[in-house]
Amino acid sequence: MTDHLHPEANDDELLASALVDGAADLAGGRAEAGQGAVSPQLAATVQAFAAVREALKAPLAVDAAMRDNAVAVAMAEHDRLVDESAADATSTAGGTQVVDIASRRRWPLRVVAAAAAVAVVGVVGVATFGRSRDSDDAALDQPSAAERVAASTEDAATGGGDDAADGSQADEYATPTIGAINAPAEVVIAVNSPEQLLDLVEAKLAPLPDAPEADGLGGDVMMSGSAALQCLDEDQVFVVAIVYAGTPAIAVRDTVTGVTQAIDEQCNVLAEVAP
Amino acid sequence: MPADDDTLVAAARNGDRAAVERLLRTHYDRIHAVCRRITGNDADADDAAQEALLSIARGLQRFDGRSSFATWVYRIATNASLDELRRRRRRPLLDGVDEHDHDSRRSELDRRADPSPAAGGDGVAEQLADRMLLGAALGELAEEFRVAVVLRDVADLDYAEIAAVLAVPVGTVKSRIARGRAHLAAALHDTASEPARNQSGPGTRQTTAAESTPLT
Repeated sequence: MTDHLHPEANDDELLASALVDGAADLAGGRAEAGQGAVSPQLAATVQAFAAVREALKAPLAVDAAMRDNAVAVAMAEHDRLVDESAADATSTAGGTQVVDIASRRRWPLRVVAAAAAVAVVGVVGVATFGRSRDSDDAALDQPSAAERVAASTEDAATGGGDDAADGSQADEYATPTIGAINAPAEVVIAVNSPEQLLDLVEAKLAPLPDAPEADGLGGDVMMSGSAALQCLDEDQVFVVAIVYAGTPAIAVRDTVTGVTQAIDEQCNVLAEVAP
Repeated sequence: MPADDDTLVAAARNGDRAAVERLLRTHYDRIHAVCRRITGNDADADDAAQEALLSIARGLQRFDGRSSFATWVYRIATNASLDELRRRRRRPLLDGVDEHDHDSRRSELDRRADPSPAAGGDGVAEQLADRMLLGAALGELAEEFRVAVVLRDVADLDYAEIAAVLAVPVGTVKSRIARGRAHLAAALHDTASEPARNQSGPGTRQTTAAESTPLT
């Protein structure tokens, strides 16, 4: 992301700022900039920036009652989740797997997934060939299932994560759900920034040449009971269930304006990205 | 010796409820400060800090330590603050926001927190004026500059951590911080050179702010 609409900081401002942060030494900075002795102007800028930093660092008083209340509310939520988790542990139903978008892009895991897919395609191909030559159409459907197995293999191999996305490729998580073959678990994708949200929604809405029926407008994971669905405006469509910055939510797209949002179950807009 | 974040996070993930509470309590003040500096008022900061704590409580089990806990926490606080700003833009200003009340509350809290013997005297008044002026100058900064400066100077994150929070290159972070500081320094300097106006209250802040070049 670049600052198209704003002027770049000039060299003196950048150097002064780095000096205040201890990220540069004065002599080195001046030499690197091809400049000689320290100018009074630079010295004044450093002093002014340091004053700003000190002023901002000065602690703001916090209302102790507000702090106690906030912590109590968060702890109540923590306790509720612990109880819920304990209840889930005794349940026989498939759980919900949270998969971080960034963790889905690790190439070694994709290699493993691709190898698994090839193996499955081979097995399916042999089995199909042995059955009947009339079942060509069904055999042609199998690569899609193989892809799902590949995705499943990758998902099973990856855990949740907390780091930000880096250099995302939208098509890398175009099929984020586990397929139907021996995979009862549900998948929710963790999203931590508006950029990731936009990438994910674009990927979900992009047509998949191999599996045109697979996604459409999402709806492939556990959304039947999401309270967040009631939050949709008439122009908004549900795209996919996510966990946004730790909060269960849904990704939606406004079909009129093209605005993408993450909305939680209390109808709070957690993130919004214009087209 | 106080336990560090890593120890507390490990304990929390192992089901130690007291560790969770201690983490939340330890980081609340700075979370609130980040929210206060980004949103610009106490009411929104209270809401954003609350949302941030809820998100931390919900997400702690999934935090795997690839970034520092502080980076993760302030990323959440930043997003909560930006969400609060978006909500504020959406809701009509009918009767909810009274900036004068917020300033009064802030002044009272700051006065109570000030340990100096001069508390209640002219020195405190000057400090309060400076803080309010700084808040006003921050409010004039475009969001992207304000957040970068706040994450650096309030949350004390380094350039790489801020870049991770904002999902922008480190060079962009440096530039935004430098430009943001330049604007704030200019706003403070302009007012400092006009002491008579600086002491005449909130109306003066607006006049002074309008004379500087806003990065919006």
